[in-house]
Amino acid sequence: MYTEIWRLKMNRFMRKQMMSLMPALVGRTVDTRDPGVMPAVDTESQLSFIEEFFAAGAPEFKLLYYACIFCFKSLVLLLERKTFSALSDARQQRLLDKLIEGGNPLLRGLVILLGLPIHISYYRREDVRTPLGFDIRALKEEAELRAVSRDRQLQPR
Amino acid sequence: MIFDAGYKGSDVSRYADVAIIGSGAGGGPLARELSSEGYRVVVVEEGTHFTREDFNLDPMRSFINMYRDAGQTLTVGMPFVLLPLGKTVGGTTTINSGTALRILRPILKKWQITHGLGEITEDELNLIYGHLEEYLFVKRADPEVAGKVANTFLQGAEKLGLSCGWLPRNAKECEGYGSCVFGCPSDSKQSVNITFIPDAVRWGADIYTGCRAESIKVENGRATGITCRFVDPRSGKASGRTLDIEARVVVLAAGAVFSPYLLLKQGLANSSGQVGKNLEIHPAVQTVAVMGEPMGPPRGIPQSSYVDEFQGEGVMLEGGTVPPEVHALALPAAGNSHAGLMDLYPEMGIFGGMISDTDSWGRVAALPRPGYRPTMLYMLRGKDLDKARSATALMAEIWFAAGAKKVYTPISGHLEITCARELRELERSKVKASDIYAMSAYHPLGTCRMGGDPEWSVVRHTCESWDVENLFICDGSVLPSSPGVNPQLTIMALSLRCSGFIDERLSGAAGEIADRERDRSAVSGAAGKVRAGNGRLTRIKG
Repeated sequence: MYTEIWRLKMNRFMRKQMMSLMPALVGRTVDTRDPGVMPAVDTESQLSFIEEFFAAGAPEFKLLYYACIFCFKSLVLLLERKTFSALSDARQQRLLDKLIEGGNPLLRGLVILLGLPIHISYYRREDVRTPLGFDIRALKEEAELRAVSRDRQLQPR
Repeated sequence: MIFDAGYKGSDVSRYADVAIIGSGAGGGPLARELSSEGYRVVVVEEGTHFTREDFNLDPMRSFINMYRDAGQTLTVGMPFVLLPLGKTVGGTTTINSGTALRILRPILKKWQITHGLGEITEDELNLIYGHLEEYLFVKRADPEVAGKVANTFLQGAEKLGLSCGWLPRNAKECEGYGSCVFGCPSDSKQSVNITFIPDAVRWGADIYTGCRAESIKVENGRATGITCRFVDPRSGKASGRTLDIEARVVVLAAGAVFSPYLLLKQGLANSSGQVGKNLEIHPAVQTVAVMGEPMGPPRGIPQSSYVDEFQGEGVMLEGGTVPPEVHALALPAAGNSHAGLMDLYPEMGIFGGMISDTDSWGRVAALPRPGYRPTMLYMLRGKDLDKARSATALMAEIWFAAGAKKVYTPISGHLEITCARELRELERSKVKASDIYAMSAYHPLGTCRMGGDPEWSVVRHTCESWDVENLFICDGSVLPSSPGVNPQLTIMALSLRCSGFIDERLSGAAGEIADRERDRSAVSGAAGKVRAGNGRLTRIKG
């Protein structure tokens, strides 16, 4: 039983919890088609990447992450007497800044860890990284045009 | 030939002169050297074989395919340190930055004096280094290709009058695709997967990928082979098929984390009690600077320039650029603040400070964990904390000298530095381990250390275990301490050196050499020397 817990896919409850955190942690809430503005979070596609990332990773990492979500949600209830989702955008942001900039390493670590897969899943999106200057298709196409060949051998011993 | 992962046939039994566990900086050169001598060499590698066609520059795809646990390998302790490890043919060389530096002279001296390794001489190592540098096309990074971030940082260092320059790299005709650590898409980087391994295969070596060595067979105090299991390289799930290799010599080259793990699990070669201990990892801090002008990341060479002004004190600055999804993790912010900073990504530069850890405590342990996973325990402490602070402050000072508007650091209370006063405050601060919010490390070393005394070392200078005859350990784990720089070239050099001893063992003088080695261990500073020349490793008979 112990070995099977982390093989389970993210259940509906965890998905909901993560979905509620994503926009606040990434800070891209406005969905716009303006060319100069970054797209909003896409919870479905990002969650499916996070699931894959967790499945390929250390099982304890996924459990630690779930524990962090639970701790964070509980902490918000204690501090604000409201759930995180019930807070206004500005209040959510103030809380995140307070936790990061405060001197408590555990609270800072909590927010950093919560943000880790969420930030990765957002900034790896093609529609996000390309405007930032990382166009992997173009780079790959360029790299494919040239292959470096080895023309040097060691003398056999 | 290379047998692909996902083997579905029946159980396999093989005979080999040399069975090598791991195909990285330790195993690859050995496989090439010994197969070129005509020995039957079989290499087992847990990861998969990837080629340049597979390297699509997508960082996260690389993490999932070529890194252990998708890169989620953390040390347990304070602070948590991200310690990514490669799991692919070529080992971590396939996904490293390609920095190829020789060991620092004072450190080699320390090895000779403190660790009883007088047999490893500077002349001998220099010959092997020279040989490797030619084979791997080692040359200084090209400033034209390195990218604006590296050039700007060096300009800042030069303004301050610091010793700095371009790193020597094992790369040929590099065009700076910024993807060294995710697999080189043009085969410029001369990693083991495109150098030693293809050569070894050409000489007749067999490489089994997706195959995990589970135990070393020992009879009458001698290693006689290995038992392996075919696994799914991504999930690590065993397929049920086994590979059994009978061998005259076994080489353990699974890296400084997995080599001691295998030995600890089996309770082997540990009469000294040193297996898994003395873990050093080269912890690194990073700074991010906002330059106020386009910096062109991530195009360029991810690690191309260095500042070695304080190398003697264990601080080496190396760096360049990283892609957005990795850069995002280096910023001390969340939410709108984070998004605001990431909007400035095109105007940002990132640089790292690598610390030669001397006071910290680290260990690889075989604690109960799901799957085949060691635990890495690590506490950053003592002078190493001061080094982390000094490295951070030095990088910030260089960034400002180069024209930065702001610098972000990973040290609590100094997360954002905007002026000289804040920089002075950082320089004067007393940093605790818990103050550092993000740290990474790239060079686990020292967990099966080499030495002249079986009481406190695991292997002899020849890399052979003190306890088990014909068992050689040859990877970063045998380095008695950090070489002060990126260790891949030193691991390769020790591997080539080791191949000479294995060659002698196999070529018939086995009993004689073993006796001589035993005598030598009893008499410290005995006359036996090994030298390298013209690509040949030759024993000078004492």
